[in-house]
Amino acid sequence: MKYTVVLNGCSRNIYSQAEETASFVAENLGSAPPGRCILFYSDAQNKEELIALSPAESLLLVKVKQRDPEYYLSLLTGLLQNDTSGLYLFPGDLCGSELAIRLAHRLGGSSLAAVEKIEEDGEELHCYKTVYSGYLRARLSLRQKPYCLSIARGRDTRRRRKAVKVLKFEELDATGFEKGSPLGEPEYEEEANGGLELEEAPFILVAGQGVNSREKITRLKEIAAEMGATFGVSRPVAMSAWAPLHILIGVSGVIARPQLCIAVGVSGAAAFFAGIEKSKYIVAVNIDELAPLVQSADVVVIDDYEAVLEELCRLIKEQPSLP
Amino acid sequence: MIAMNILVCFKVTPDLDQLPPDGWEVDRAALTVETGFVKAMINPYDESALELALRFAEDAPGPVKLTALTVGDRSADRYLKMLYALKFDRAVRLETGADLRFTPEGIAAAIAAFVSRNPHQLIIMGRQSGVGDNAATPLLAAEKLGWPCIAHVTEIRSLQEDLLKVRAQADDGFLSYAARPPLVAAVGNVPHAYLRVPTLKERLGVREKKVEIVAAALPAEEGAGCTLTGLDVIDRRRAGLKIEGATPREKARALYELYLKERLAKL
Repeated sequence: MKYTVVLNGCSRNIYSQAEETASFVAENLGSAPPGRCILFYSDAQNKEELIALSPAESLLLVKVKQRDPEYYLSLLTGLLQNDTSGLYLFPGDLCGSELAIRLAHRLGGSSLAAVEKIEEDGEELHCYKTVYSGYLRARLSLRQKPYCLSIARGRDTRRRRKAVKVLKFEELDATGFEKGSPLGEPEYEEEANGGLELEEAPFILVAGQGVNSREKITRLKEIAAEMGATFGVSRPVAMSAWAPLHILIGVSGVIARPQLCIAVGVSGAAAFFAGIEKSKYIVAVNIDELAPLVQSADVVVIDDYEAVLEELCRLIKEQPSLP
Repeated sequence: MIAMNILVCFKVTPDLDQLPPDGWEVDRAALTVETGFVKAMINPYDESALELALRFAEDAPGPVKLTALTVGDRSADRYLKMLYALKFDRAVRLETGADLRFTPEGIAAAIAAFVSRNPHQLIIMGRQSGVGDNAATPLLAAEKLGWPCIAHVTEIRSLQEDLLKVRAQADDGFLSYAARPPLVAAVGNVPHAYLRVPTLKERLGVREKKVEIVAAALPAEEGAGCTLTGLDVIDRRRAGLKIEGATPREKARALYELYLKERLAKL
């Protein structure tokens, strides 16, 4: 099946977008004819660097003047009117998932967000994804082409793919495109690098609702820094505004892939666990022996987290080579 | 001044986190899971949408009429009554016996049909709900209405009559729009946006008000939807080795020496 990957090069997460879509393509479309990539970028970016990220041999670089989903959607709808791809793939981030669903509607196709795996079977495309807040995995079958899918985030990309050599390269300057977003141009406000840093961190410390005050969250953040860990929180902590949104870990936030994750005061709901599931080793510290995370961790300490963490921090700081 | 009509769509879902790990049993023939014994709740993203709408109405310079809408069975009625108590002007349930788990196309079409019969300028709803995890209904509602959509909204306020300030989370920051209705706002993670609780007096004040119930056959999926063809429980168990010790310090030392020291040195 002919496929096209669409990437948002204007976003600072472009590297994880490219890695994850390339990994999906390699595992699911290895026998398909070579695909194409459409990559949006802005004037300020290094084109050579972006070209090297292409997961497909054919690349269309589209220079844009603004970086919001409505604008991309208007552009794509125009660009793809006569396109014959049967499958459009988007990264599973906020922008990619929105584009997948809305583009399918405009092209008369069908869509799904957060797809882990696909199987083509005659007239149907079977897609696997988590449902029921992450507790179950469903097989959902689509019939109407083109299929527009966003990829589930958090794919294991540690085994680096072979670089794809771009054989066909085109450029389009769409900065004069006037039928852009019906909403006008939004103001972009850059966020601290927390989310992107957490995604790549080798060692993370995550605090959950069991850490039940803003002051204690602040202390844990200090402990994380002293231990050499990157700090994250579960959704209830972020929703209480005890920590910024960009360090929220879970299905609606960061999907981390560390070598080591220490989770304290976290119950371990599936929507949270999706954010630490790719960790190589998980330590849970919890007073509640019945918390679901106790079964999903590699090693567990059932006790008061404060005393455990203070001592652990002291021991790690004494270690000759800090992480 | 003409009132702005705001439609807030919400869904009542089972609180799936309350289901014990061994409580997940899939009926392989029907591809269903029994969740009827689990406490129900308003989908958390929709809860934020309802609260944002109430705050918007309080702060708006002109009159605002709020309609709460849900698609589903009568288990949602007590939530709709509660929304009357919170000063929603209308509380409407589109009644259908359909399986709503994986039908965002049908639900979006039902919402769009309701709006075409009952004009509104702004639709606010959560970005996604559990069970189906489709993350598609607000986006498809916007497409079916031909309206713009802002997804992952964290703030909506009125700048002046007919001009809204909408702030939304992007993948590496925030986008702020000055937007004119009509518009669909799909609400994302919003700190401090738990739905307020009505007082007893407020509840008693609306006890005679009736939920509007409208029979709705969900429109056919027109081929654009998906069909559920498999459902399995995900086994996430790991070793779960428990560290023994008389005190928290002892346990911390055992954890460090036996399981972390070597791993940390390799990072």
